[in-house]
Amino acid sequence: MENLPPNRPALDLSPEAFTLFLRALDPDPEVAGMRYETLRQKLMRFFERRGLNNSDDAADAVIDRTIKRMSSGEKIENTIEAYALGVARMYALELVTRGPKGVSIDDEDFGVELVAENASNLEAEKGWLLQHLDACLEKLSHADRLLLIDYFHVDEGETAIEHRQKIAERLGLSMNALRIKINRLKGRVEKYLEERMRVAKPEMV
Amino acid sequence: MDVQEVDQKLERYLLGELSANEQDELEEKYFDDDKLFGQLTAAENNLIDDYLEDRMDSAKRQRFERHYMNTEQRRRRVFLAQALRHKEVESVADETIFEPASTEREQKWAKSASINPWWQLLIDAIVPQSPGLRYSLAYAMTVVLIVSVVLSLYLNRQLRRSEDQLATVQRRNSDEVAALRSESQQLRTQLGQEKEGRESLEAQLSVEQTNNAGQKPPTPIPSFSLGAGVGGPVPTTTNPGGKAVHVSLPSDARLARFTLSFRPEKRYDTYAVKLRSGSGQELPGWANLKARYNGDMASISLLVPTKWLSAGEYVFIVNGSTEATASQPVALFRVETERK
Repeated sequence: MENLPPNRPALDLSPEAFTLFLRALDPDPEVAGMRYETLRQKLMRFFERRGLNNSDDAADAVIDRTIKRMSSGEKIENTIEAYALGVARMYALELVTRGPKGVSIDDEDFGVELVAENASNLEAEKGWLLQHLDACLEKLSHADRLLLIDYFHVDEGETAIEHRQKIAERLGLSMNALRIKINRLKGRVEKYLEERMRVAKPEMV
Repeated sequence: MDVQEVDQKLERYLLGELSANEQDELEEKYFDDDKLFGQLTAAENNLIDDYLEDRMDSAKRQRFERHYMNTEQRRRRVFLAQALRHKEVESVADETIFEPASTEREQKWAKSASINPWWQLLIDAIVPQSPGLRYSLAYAMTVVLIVSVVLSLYLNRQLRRSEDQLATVQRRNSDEVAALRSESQQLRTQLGQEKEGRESLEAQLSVEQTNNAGQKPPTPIPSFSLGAGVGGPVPTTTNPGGKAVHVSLPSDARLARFTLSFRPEKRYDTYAVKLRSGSGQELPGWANLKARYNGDMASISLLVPTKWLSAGEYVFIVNGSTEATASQPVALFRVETERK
């Protein structure tokens, strides 16, 4: 059940509303969990493209708003994902109006400024990640951990694609299935890193 | 739009190269299409690979650093991929369960296999994650292990017992076969001796019949005494009687009687006599002969077909045997024959 979303501490979201939202995604709880996670990833990519640092928080906020609107009886004409995209666009506009120094979130230079702002912290970010990576990897099963490490390992004289094709053949998976599996594993490690970061360095999030 | 064009568009999206409209359009598509979103994450991973493997030209690299790595989450993805690449060397070395491979390719495959061994996948799939279930499983496995050990010991003991029984039967059979072989050999020897005796008797019968028929004047059977009474010491095996006794056989004689006199160490139940030519050729012999005794002297009479004897030297070898003892040499007589 690792695909099921955690019980996030939403401020004014009832557990019933959250359950209803999951059921609306899919009657099968496991499939619903997967769709929830995919939607969250899509929302994160949406906000990342707009240069937002806290894309995970923004994605959670959009999901919360979607749930609230659904539980208040608002009808969804299209898919939940399409509806969530509309909510995300509205949320992005809100961020622009209250964003730092009034910089447009869609401004091409916005990201550049963020990079410049954080440049001095890049090495620190990297060091922090390396420091906590082992602990996060330990949370994966032995097989998953080794698979993830192997996936990213590429020998000299071999391309990453060739290497990953061999892994897929060995596991009897298609390349796409392997990619999805790796994305999930990587996503879990990223999530563990986020959790550790929240506990250890709340000011970084 | 073919796959390549889609991939290019996704890459441009990630690098912030699409117009606002194109960007909105693509987002609407991947929000509704999980497959397209999968392609987007794949394109993202490829982009990270290219960056880490230095497969980007400087312009693209700069664009990647300025427009892709502009958020903490994205940077974390890049750093994570980079860290995992460096991580693998020590991790794989720690986890390797294969023998060192000789070639680089073999090493790589051994490494890959050790990274995700089938047994580990199997264990992960079947071993419960709950501690309670794990303890139950461990308990059940311990019980199974104990039962297996007991069963193994029992079966091992039964196997040893069966092997002992088999060995006993084989030993018994082997003894019986040896006894049968020995008996068979004895019977074969006895049959040969009986055959020789019968030939001798047939020759004697033939002579008697000829004599009785009166077709020819009876030819006396020449008799020869060997041993006591012919001078010299009484022959024994240690004293073979000195020189050979000269024997002259009439040319028309078909049989010759030889009386062998000797002094045995004890009275044997039966005697056997072997006849051997001077060249060592074994001739038919006699068995189950009873000796006549005169004091400690024994004598045996033999009728020898003259056709067995040509001119030359021959040796009679006398062996004695009792029920309790095997055949033993008793005396030896040498004769030198001639035909006249």
